[in-house]
Amino acid sequence: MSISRYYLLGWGDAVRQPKMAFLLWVLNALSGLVVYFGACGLMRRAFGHSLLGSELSERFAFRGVMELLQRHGRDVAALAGTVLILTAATYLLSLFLSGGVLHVLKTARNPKSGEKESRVAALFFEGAGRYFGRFLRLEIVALPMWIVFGILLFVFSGIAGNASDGWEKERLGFALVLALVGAAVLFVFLGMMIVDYARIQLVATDGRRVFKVFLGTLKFAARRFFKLLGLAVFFLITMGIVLALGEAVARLLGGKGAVVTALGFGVQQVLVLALLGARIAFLGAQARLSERERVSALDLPPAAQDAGGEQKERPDKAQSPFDGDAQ
Amino acid sequence: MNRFLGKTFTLFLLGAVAFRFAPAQPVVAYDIKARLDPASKTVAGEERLVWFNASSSAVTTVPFHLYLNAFRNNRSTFMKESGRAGEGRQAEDWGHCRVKGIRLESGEDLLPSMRFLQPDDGNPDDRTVMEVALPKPVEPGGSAVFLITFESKLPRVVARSGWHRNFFMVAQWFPKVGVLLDGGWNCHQYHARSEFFADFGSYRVEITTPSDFVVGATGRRIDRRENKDGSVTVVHEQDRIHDFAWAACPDFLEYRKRFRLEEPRVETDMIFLIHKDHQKLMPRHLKALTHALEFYSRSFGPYPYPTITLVDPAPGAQAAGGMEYPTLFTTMSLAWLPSWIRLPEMVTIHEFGHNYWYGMIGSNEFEEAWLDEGINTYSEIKALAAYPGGGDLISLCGLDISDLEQHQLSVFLSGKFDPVVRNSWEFVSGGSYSLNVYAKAGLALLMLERMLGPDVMDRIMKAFFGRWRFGHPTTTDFVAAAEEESGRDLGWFFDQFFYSPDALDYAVGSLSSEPVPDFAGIDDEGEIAGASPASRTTKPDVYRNEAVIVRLGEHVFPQEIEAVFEGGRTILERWDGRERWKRFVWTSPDRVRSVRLDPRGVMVLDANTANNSRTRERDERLPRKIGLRLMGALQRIWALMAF
Repeated sequence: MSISRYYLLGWGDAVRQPKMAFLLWVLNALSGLVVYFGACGLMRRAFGHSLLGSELSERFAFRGVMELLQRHGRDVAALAGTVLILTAATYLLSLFLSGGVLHVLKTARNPKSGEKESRVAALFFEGAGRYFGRFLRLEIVALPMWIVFGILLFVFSGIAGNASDGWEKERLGFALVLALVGAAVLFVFLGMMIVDYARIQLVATDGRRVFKVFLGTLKFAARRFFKLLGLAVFFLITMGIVLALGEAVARLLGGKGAVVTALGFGVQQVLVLALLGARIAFLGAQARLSERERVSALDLPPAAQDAGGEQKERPDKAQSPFDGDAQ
Repeated sequence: MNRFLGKTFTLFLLGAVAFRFAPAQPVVAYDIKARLDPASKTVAGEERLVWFNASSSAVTTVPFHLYLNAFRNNRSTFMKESGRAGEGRQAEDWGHCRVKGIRLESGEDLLPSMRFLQPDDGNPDDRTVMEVALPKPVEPGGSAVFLITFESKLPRVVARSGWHRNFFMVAQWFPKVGVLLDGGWNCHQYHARSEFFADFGSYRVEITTPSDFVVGATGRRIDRRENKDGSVTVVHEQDRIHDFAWAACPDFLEYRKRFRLEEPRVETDMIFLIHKDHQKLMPRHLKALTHALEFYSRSFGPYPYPTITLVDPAPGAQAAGGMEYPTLFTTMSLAWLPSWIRLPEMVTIHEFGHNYWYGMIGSNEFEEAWLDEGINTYSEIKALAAYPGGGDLISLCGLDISDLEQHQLSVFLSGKFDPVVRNSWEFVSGGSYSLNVYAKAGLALLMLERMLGPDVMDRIMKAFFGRWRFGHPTTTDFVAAAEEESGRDLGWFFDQFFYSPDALDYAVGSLSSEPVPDFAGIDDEGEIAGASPASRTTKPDVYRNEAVIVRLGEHVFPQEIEAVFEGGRTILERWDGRERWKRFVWTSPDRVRSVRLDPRGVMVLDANTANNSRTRERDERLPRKIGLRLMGALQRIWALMAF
């Protein structure tokens, strides 16, 4: 199956789970509101009654940044701390949430008798609770992978430094720095993708052998590298479009009337919802790709595969937990 | 004039007399032969120095700067002060200036009398100042001719000079005589935070390098000859200068362009030595230097020298960048720097500007560094503001940061420990030195301009430059020029902003507007009149608008207060700013909307501009805008991170 078809089917899965997307948006927006009130408070303390505040609301004025740093450095640090804590919390929460998302997707495509769509919240939290411990262990198991990526970047950086004569070939050095940043982004994305597929496999098999699943996922990722990457590119393009729309809307916010601001804020939230939907769609597409191609790539004995490694038949079809309308 | 006075010196004196604004007599005439050995990073030199005693006292000893000895070992004053003493260095990284022989032209050997002095800190390991004793005194009006052989080992590029691969920045490289003032010799050690001070005179320097080297140097080239050993010798000379520097590198690309200006009349050759890796930045440097020549010539006085040479240090040799020498300066280039970051333009304009404030106005950089750095920062801010096509230091998609704002940031982020006027090595830190002598002094002059008006400031700058060109003015001389041209006593201004580390900060403490209650109580006829305020149903007729202006800083500065009322009416009030606070009351039928201090933007040194204004009602647009934008951005990031 082509990756575009996986992606479209993933979107189908996401569209069928609006309640789950809404639930995720609520959690996202609650954290956002904490930041909103924190930032508003900081701005009021710094510029509340000053004409400089009015000027800043209309255009960028470096003086405003200067005053903020000089006079309200502690408040800025406190807000930055809050943002960091919320970001860390979001990361930890993601371990919890991803179990719920995958469990809902799995159940939706393989419903047990009596389970209805109205039980999404219950299913979500059931899955979240069930897989949280395993996902946490998966993060620990995946640490060496991140360390290897770090070492690779360090080595690349050394090579780039030598190639550019200690960064003195400035144009080449600059290009290599950009390449290093690109490599770092690729590693981060690759790592996240591998962890995604490992989570999918843990949920699909309801297995508990995290280390084995992780190793299997590494092999799978290596064999289907370009296909996985291709699917990710679809996701990134979607994200890029939504983020660009979000930025365009953000520029409409503030400095205008309250009605326009409220409207802009509403559109902004719809876009955040779209982002979350895109993420669910990506997970759904990954789950389908994993389900369909992982067995053929890894688990079947050689006799069951053709010369090109393609699957001849799917003996596990009946047991496929993500089985649904993908065939 | 005694018998030792050479022909060059005589001609030089005649030239100086003919020059209208030359307040100081030429004191030195250097004739140096230098040979660069790239392999050993060494310059072998022979120096003939004619020194004229222009003071009113006879001298028996003569001190010399040996600046390169700052890099001789990790115990020099420079290395200790700069915190570089603990840095690991290879053997070839060190530098020195070794005097191999010194005698008078009349034959007396002075080497036995040579000793090292440490007039500033008594550090016995510092050898940046040496002194020789003369066999007989040089009387006022007399002169002495020294013949010196020396060897200068260049350090790996550090603090403005040295080598990096095949690039050589040869600066502060020869034994340079101290400055004899009426109070005695002024010859400071080389400090981590000091620059230089020397007498005006003439220089003729022969520079020999391997033939593949491209050489740029102070002054105009009068000869170039190829030697039998495969080397090349170039000869440069220039008068009315107080230092000589040169640069050599086989990878330089040399460009020349003639600069002409009708009013005032200026003609000079712009010479660009651009490293081949930075070739694409050449048009940017050309535009910046052309603008600088025009701006400085029109603002202060015509550029008088026949050449100006821009040296672009090689990649990796940035420590040699951003430094000024007479008729030659080093700039800063990075091959990848986008055009919306105008750092190369700023550095080129600033360093060229030093040909005025340092080059021609030869102030003592050891003791009053603001006279060159501060005045030049002020000039640079103005020159960049007038830069063709926009002069913001950073300008990208509405995110604009001007040169003025970046200097304000450095002042605001500093503590108040030092005044502007202080010996450069006595500042509490390098940061305090920089922000005071560059940013604070520059901004203080901008404040002075906005206070007195641009025309008066223009007169002040032209008068100061005109009177002290090729001389050694002090802060007192600048204040005198400012007071004479403005016709005002400005002592209070300079005492506060140049001799005190305190801060300037005025604020609108409070702003209110309350209805004036209708009359209530017993009137003149003894009747009880008026209704209770609670019974009022109509809009009040009159409001009592009140603003309290407070002085939070120590500095006193006259204040202008602009009150804006609903409907757009404005009132301008004045206050001498001396007391700690002042209440202003306006009783009127309209309510005050906002009060702003300093509506003309004079107080560029004000420590807190956010408190310079106050609105009666809070504007919620900014909190809403920033809150929503931050919230939206984080929500998107968190959505990407999600599960």
